[in-house]
Amino acid sequence: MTLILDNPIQGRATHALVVGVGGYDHLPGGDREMPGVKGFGLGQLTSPPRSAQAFASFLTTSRVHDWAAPLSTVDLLISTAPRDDEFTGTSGQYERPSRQLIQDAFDRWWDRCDAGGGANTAIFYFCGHGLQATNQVLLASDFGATGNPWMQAFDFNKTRQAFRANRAETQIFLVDACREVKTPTVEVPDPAAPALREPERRQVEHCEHDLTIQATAPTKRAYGPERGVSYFTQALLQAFAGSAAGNQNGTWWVRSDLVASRIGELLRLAGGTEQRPVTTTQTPVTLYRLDGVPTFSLVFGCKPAEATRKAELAYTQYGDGPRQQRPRRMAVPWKLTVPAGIYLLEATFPDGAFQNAQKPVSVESLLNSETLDVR
Amino acid sequence: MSAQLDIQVAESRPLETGRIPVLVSVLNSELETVVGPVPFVPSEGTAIQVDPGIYVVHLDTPSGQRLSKAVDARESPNQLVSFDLHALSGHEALEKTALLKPFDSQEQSPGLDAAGFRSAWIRLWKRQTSGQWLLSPFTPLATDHNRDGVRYDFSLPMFPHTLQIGGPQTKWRLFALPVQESVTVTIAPDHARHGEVITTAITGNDVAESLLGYLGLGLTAHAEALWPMAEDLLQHKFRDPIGAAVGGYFLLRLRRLGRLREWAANLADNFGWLPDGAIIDGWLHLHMARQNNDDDEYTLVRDRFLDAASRGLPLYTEGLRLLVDGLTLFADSAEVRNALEGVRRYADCVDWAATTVTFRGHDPDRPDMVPQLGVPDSTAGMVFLQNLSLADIVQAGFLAPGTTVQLRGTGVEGVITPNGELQLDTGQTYSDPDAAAAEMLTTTAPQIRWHDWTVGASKTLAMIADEARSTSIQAEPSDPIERLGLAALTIWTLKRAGITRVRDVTRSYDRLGSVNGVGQRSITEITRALAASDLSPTTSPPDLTMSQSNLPDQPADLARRDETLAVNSHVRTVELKADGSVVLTVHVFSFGAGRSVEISGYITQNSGAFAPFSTNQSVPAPVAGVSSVTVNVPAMGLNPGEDVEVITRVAEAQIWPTVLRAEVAEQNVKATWRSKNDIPAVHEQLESRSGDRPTPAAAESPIPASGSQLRGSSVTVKGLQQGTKYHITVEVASDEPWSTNQ
Repeated sequence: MTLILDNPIQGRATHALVVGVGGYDHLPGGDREMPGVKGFGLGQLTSPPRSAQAFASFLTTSRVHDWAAPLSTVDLLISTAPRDDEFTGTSGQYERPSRQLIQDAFDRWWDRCDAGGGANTAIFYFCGHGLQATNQVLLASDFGATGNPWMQAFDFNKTRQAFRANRAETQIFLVDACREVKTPTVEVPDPAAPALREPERRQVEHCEHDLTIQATAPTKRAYGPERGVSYFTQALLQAFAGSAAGNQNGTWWVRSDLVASRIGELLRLAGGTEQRPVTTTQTPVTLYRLDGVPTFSLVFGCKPAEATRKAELAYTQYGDGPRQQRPRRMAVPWKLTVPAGIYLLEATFPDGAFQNAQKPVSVESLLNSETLDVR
Repeated sequence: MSAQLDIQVAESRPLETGRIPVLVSVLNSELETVVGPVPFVPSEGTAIQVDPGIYVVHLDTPSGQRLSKAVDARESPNQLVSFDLHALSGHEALEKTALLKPFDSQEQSPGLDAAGFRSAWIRLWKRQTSGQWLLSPFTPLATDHNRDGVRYDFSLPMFPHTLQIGGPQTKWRLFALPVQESVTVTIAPDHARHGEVITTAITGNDVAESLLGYLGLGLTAHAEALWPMAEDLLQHKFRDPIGAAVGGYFLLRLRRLGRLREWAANLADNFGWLPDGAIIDGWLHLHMARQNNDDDEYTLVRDRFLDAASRGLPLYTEGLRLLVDGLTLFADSAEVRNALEGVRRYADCVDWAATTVTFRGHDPDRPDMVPQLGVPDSTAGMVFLQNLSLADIVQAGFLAPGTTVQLRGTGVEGVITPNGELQLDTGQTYSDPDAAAAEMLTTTAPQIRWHDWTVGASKTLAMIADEARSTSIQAEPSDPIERLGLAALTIWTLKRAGITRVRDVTRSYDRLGSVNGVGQRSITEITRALAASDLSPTTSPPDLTMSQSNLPDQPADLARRDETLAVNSHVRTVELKADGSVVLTVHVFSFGAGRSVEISGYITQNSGAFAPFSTNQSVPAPVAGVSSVTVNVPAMGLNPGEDVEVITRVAEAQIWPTVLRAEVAEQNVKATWRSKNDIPAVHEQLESRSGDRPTPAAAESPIPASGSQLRGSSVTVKGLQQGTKYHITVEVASDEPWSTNQ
């Protein structure tokens, strides 16, 4: 067991299981390559361990009681590629995400989520290789260890469906993996990758609030920079940093519906321009409270562009902000980082080259680009 | 004192978008939501009362676009907040689509004008009450073409319809259409994937479409806000079952089972052509069964899922997902496993991100994970999407070979060649008129387009291209596949002289039509078509460039032919499985191992059983000199005690249909049919494509067949020489008069 956070909580709690599979023992580049899985065209990955660790770090460094259900446990499983020397995440201290160890961790996580009367929040995060058959199949680090490689993988869709029987009322599943159709999945269109738990006909569902996001559409890839955090995980972290937050009674909460509706744009801004995440949500729920007002980028200038150089630019936040003026005139737009809010943007021209202009704008997303039309 | 925010929306086409509900929210200066989301329709706008202050107004569209306006309502009691929908798509015709569905317009992109979409095509399939799919004439009420998207407006009767799109660089995909009086289909370029398109279909039920949009975006709070307006959908399910199904999926998603219980069974029971109703009702009862642990309820659920699977594909992707998941839960019986197997054929090929069921495949009955590219064998009912090649325009018959064209204002002339190229006076040929014009004018000016080439006084190539992409291609009388059908039926009918009932033949031909897309015809029409056709009276093998060893079975070459003489592919065995399905073992000759061949044809029995089959397979390596492939045919009601006849065609085959005309019979011969004269028209067509002329016959001497009288279903001809033209005369004698008047 690799519980990197074990914080017993009385009452409702949040439990997370985080899996990052970068090292695949039996794929090309692994320590024990097996010829039987060469045909999949898969290799070692450097992004998943960094992505999983980044997400786990966010969880463990977050303020435990700012979660709608206080954060209780985080279990982290990581494998790194043999030649991934730069990864200094002390991965050796974590359990390796083999099929069996993922199963063991999942079963323990299930029990933690299931306990405590049913008001818990369950978070499942996976980053690694994935394939698409009828369902999405996620590959464990020992994929290919036996003649039937599917035994070292698991069926995500069935697993997700089965988990609805868990008593955790808020269930969050985040899957950062490809969904390509490879030749072997064509030849075996319904590979018998066992689910981590099979859905049952008579299972009673307890999930009240669902947030399930697959990082990319079926048949498509998910991307990340080599030796960097994947684009989807960057987008997730941005969402929890405030880009998917809304003000409720003076408190900024990250909400499930806002994560679902904004993750696509955040993913695009992070660099995953070719990915289209697929989200499934149920009744919205607040997840995590920010400790203040989130800040965003604001860029503004004038149109026509030559007016920017002659303008004195200023902004005022409605409500409680003093008027802020750009220290000196410049030809390029003014780039700022400001708290979310409504601002009055102004451009004045002391030399009378253009007419003065002003415009109220809202700043509430990651990037805000505005222009003041002047004549 | 309070202030009023007057929300108004500017639209290009208020009649189209004015009744589509959108949602508006008002946030205070702390960005805290103070009002909303509130639904309203653009044509009416809405007024929202607030305290004086600074506000942000959000207008969220069902397509996922957010339009925002900050307003200062501290001084003036009335503030006009105006939103403009024009910018969503940049095109009036696409505004409705951009309001309801995610839409990506990129100014710098050539869009559908890109080379990747050249000669991309589209065609419409309709499912018959028998469950079979037929190609339907592509006759939209209105069409609008531009590079950011092509729009078609349909009015579809209450039968499932599927659109198919493909092209030389566009992977074939089929997507289910909602059937309604008003359906707007948009095909837009997928800027992230070369040659690929994004397809959307919108019904005239604005509220249902809006609800669907917010649900698809995961904006459940918005969908819930819209629900009071959408609940009316349920009241009108008999008028609009599609809208009611959308409401059903919404209630299932939010687990509002109480509301669903009131009407889901009615939707399932009264609209048998719509599997979605049975799926929704099945899941409703599954939730109820789980809550009550009720065994009877579980039985009902299982039956509902089986019923849904038997109805065909659901309209919505969410329904397909629910059907797969539902059947999986009951897969402990063979019946359910069979149903699941049938659904999975599609599920493996489905685009799970699409709203309506969208899958890769050859036709609605043949999903295929392997992407298909190119143009279908039969162009019947097809239209081109946007950007065409000259060759395809010529091949589709919109421009005749030999037509002279002039480059406007230059005196340069050219002639359209049979294979669709432009041959200039200089002798040079060009496949692209743009390139030809640029070459002759020694310029690469981008304004040079097809409209610079004129045909006659005023018609331009661009106008012909417009016609080609707006006109559904008619089934060509010379279509070799149709000719195969005619010929096969002719022979079949002759062989059944006096036995076959007219309606059997008609029904068979209808089924044949469903495969080949040639539509329905009665036997009378077939006969008339035969009489009017210019098909050759001879049954000579084609004497073109194709080698004799490549020739396929003739249509009359039935399953029981003598194996030892088989140089052509044939059916070795036919097995009837316990579930009624049929397995054919076909021996494929003359095609190298690894080559992809299309095997198609028909299985018949005297009692009237008839089933078409068609499959694409790679030829396996021969074993003992024989490459054997297996063809599976769904249950078709074969009678185990009766002979079976199989008519087989192998792709890349040359087909030579024969028409025989009744003649005066000689003494002691009851009736004689003699083939018409001259070279088959199908040869002419193929020659014009290949540019080769037939080789004259080297010799003409009779070769005896295996018997002077044709008995059973086959005749053997030995000693044929490659490259030699043969005339085969068939005389058919029967104890019964052959008539079509029964």
